[in-house]
Amino acid sequence: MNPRQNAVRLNLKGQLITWVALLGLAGVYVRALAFTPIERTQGPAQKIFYLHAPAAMTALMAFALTGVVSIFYLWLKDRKLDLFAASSAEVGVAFSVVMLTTGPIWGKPIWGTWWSWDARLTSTLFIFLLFVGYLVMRGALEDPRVRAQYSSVIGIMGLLLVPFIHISVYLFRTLHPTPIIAKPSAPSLPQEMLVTLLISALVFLLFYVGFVTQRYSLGLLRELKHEEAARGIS
Amino acid sequence: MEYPDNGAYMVAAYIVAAVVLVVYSVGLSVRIMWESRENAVKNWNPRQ
Repeated sequence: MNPRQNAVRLNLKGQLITWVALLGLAGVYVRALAFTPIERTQGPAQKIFYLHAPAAMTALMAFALTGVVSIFYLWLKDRKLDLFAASSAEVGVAFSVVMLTTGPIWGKPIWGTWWSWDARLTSTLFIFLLFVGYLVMRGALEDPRVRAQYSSVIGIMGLLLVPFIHISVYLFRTLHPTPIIAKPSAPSLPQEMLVTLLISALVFLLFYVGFVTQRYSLGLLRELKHEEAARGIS
Repeated sequence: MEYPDNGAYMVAAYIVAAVVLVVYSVGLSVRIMWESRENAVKNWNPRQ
């Protein structure tokens, strides 16, 4: 099997996973809207949490993986690591858009404001803009080696931000709620709500795997095109 | 039981999240399709 067929085959696997995730998302919607109780004080708007929190967790995981893989790229200089880091960064930006849109839609009825410039929200916006810059920079640099090196440095800077974002709600006075699952004590959610949240987190993880697989195969196809152009085939 | 009347915000958030995920998914597939097609056209050889 030639490299192009490999890339196309990888894309088909990614598409299949993404389709399963889309079906899973429909299932999450049904479960969250029809089979999960309404929270007494926040009302129906609390159910935004079942999308916002998994999107935030997946986005931060994507950025953290970009940073970790970038460290390995600087060490091993394997272009596949750079391709994975770029794929994970782009998918992380997509999940950040979900996080940064659903968050304010929840904030308006609960806090009375769309946005607050506190530590958690500001640092989350900052990491989003950092990785938007990462993608713009990748598009502007022609030399693959230079592009990979510069991107790796930005990816590692993003990785350093992730734990800060997580603990920012403990370090600063903030409107944002403290973690309800990723904390030393037991999750502070009723069983039915916790199950919905965990299913949603699993579906978002599936989206991440599907999207990254597809984005990685896109990167492979682009590399093949450039290699062939360099060899004078085109 | 009485709840705050904010269901419209919930509906808006659910629509926005689905739209973002579906649009990104479709966009990714279209970009891959274009890249595959471009590769196929460049490598097409009528003598083969």
